[in-house]
Amino acid sequence: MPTIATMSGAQFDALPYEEGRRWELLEGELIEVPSPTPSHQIIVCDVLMAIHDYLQSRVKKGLAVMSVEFALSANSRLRPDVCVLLPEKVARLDFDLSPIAGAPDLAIEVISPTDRTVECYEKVRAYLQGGTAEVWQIYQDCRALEIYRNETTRSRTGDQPVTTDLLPGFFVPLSSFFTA
Amino acid sequence: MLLDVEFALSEDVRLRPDVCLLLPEKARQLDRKRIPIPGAPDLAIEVISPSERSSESYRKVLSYLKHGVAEVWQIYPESLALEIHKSETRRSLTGDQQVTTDLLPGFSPPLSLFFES
Repeated sequence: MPTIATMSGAQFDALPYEEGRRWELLEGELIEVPSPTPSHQIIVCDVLMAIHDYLQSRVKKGLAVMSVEFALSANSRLRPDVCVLLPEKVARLDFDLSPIAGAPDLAIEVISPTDRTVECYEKVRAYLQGGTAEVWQIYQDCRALEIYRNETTRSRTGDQPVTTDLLPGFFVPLSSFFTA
Repeated sequence: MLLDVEFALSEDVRLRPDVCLLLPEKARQLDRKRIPIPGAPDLAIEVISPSERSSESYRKVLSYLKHGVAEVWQIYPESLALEIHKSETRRSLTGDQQVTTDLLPGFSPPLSLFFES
């Protein structure tokens, strides 16, 4: 069983930047964040571009960004690979403040080979409890997407289209997340 | 119901669910002296251990479903949660929700029963 290191959100925020980047904090427990591999980052980029293009086409523009930290609760600091803030949240966003207080509307995680099942699951629950409407988990090897909501989860594989109520009109084949 | 028995889901897939269920039809056809069991169980249950990697747990779920398992249950002991995976849908159960499945008509214990100790 892995050892569990703990600290408060305030202690976490005071970590030197480089050290803080190696961890996320979930209810006071430190979760190791592996250094992203090229294949991980290529998917992150594909997803970000797809959503960014969609958001740019809208009249009220939301925001899609990478690796920004959220203070979901006093002792949780999570940094989704990609997150979406819808126009209402963007309007209230302090662009110069990190971590962002609260939760993103959509959090997207590209699962790394070393990520632990339990931690991935608990992160999904933390986002949903913190107010995130949807969490997407992208599995590189299986080329699959799991879309979590509070009560339901949907699964996408192969060339199935990716759609969500959060982004009306967004419609891309799942394969567009795996261009490499 | 079997504990920790190996299945040959395909030529090059061998999985050993923590708990599995063979419904009467499959149970009848079972050769009790042969291991691994060829084919798939009807229900596969995995209790997630702290060291497991997400990519592997997920691959197992997809592999079970692809090879004919009707439902895969993932039990998260620390979160006291159950994820029920079917090929098209997923369900998340937590707290005291009732565990039900088409596979076991009439079965409806509260989830907390799985975590009594």
